[in-house]
Amino acid sequence: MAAAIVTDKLSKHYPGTKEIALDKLSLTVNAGEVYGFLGANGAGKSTTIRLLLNFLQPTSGTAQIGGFDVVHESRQAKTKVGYLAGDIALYKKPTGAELLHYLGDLQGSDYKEYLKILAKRFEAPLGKKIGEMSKGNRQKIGLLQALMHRPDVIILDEPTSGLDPLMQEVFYSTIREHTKAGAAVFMSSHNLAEAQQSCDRIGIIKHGKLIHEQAINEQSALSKPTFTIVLASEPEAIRLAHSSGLKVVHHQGNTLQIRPTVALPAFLRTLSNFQIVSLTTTQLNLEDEFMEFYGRGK
Amino acid sequence: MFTVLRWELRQRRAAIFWWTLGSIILTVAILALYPSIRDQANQLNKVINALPQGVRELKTGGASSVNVADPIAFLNSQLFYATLPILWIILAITRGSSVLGREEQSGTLELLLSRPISRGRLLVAKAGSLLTEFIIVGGVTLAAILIFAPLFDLHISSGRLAIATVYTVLFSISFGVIAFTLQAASSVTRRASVAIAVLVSFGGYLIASLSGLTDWLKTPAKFAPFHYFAPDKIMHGQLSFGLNAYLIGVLVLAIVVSYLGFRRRDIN
Repeated sequence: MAAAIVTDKLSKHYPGTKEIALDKLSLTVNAGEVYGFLGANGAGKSTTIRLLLNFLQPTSGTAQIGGFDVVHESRQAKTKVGYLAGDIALYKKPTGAELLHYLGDLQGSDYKEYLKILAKRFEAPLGKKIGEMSKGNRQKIGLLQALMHRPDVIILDEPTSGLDPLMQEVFYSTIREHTKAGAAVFMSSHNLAEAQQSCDRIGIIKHGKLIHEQAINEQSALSKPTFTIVLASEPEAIRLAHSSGLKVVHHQGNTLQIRPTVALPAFLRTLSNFQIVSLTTTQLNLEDEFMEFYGRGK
Repeated sequence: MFTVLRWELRQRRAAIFWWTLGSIILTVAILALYPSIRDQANQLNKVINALPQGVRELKTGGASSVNVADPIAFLNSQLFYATLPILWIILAITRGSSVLGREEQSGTLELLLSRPISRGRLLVAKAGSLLTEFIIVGGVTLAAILIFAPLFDLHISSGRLAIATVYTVLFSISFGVIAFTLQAASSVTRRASVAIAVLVSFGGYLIASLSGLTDWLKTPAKFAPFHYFAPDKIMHGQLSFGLNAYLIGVLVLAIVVSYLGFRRRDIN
């Protein structure tokens, strides 16, 4: 697969600060894949994206999009890019259609037919003034402007923020269409469930350093579910907490949040020895889930 | 580039209409005063010329004495030296500081910079929208001056009035260009852009006008752009070297500083 995004020891140090916002980031995103870029707040996700878009100047290192250097060939690189900012800022006065046609004209490529398709699919209220739109509808406009010119490289910061579950599904299927057509997607997210559902590979960033990369279908702690289990009594919960084949994420009274460290059938056999009142799988949250990675100082 | 320019003007069409209308109403109202002022010129001249020089210069610039019956002196003191520049400097600084700065502050600048448009071209398009806005406001105001001045017995050649208006536009817009350049140059100067543009324009206006009151202001007044702005001389056909040097200097510095600064700076 051809590389769509390549960074080589890309670094950013903001003047007047001690910490390095991004420390020698080297990664590759291939055409046709969705790369999830995960990390806690302030880890360096947005800095990376803003460097790729040349909103920020790198302190050292290089980055390329579609073979073009993002600093010295920024304009050429951006002919390939569709970008959605996290918490996107849009003009308030124009209608959605006016803004999209403006941005489409600036992009300089054919967008009108596909924009109609996307607008219908996302049920975007294009005739409405943006200032009068809900957050979800503004997010739809943001997605449309990022996708309407069928870019080769799609860079998304928290793309499903504000979208209802139905529209999230529409978004995931649209992204899949683009990657099948050969586009690369670089997506930052806090939401591990979203990453698991939509990404082919993930990278985890902490304190500006890429600390982990893996294909999403690889068996790892990250791809295992977390269970919230309410037991009949507190001693019962303590007994379960000391069992083998699981890791306790959180323990309070008779409630345990645990993650199996063995295969699911073996884990369920362990649970059958306890008096369980309720059992639910928990939506994985990056902040909790990745504390393990962060804590290990990996 | 023209896409951005068209968009800017479209977004600003209501504001441009009101600024133009305001300029016309103010201009025509001042022109309409001329016949009655001319009829009372003897008394008014005595009062105005009895004022301390510094106070008088707040309205007239460097004119040594004032004869309000003279059309050029009237237009200089009532319209071109203070009223129109002050109105237009407010517009220029407001627009110069916001045409790029407001977009950066609100985050919409990222929408534009994520498109394949170079920072240099974006800068030119934004500066172009500022200039076009002034061409519209100044052009329509000039048309009003050319139409109404003869109706109120202000018989000055159209060419002289046009040159005076063009210089007033250029002089006013120069402070917007200063604000714009500081916005573009760096994130540090961006924060101080309005303050610096106001200081250079209105601070300079006070210093230049009051320099007749006290000797120690005479040297700093030479650094104030208003010191070189003399619409009465322009209407008499004398083009000021100092004013032209200031306007060209601002333009050249603006191009160099804003391009070099904005080309490679971090967007906040």
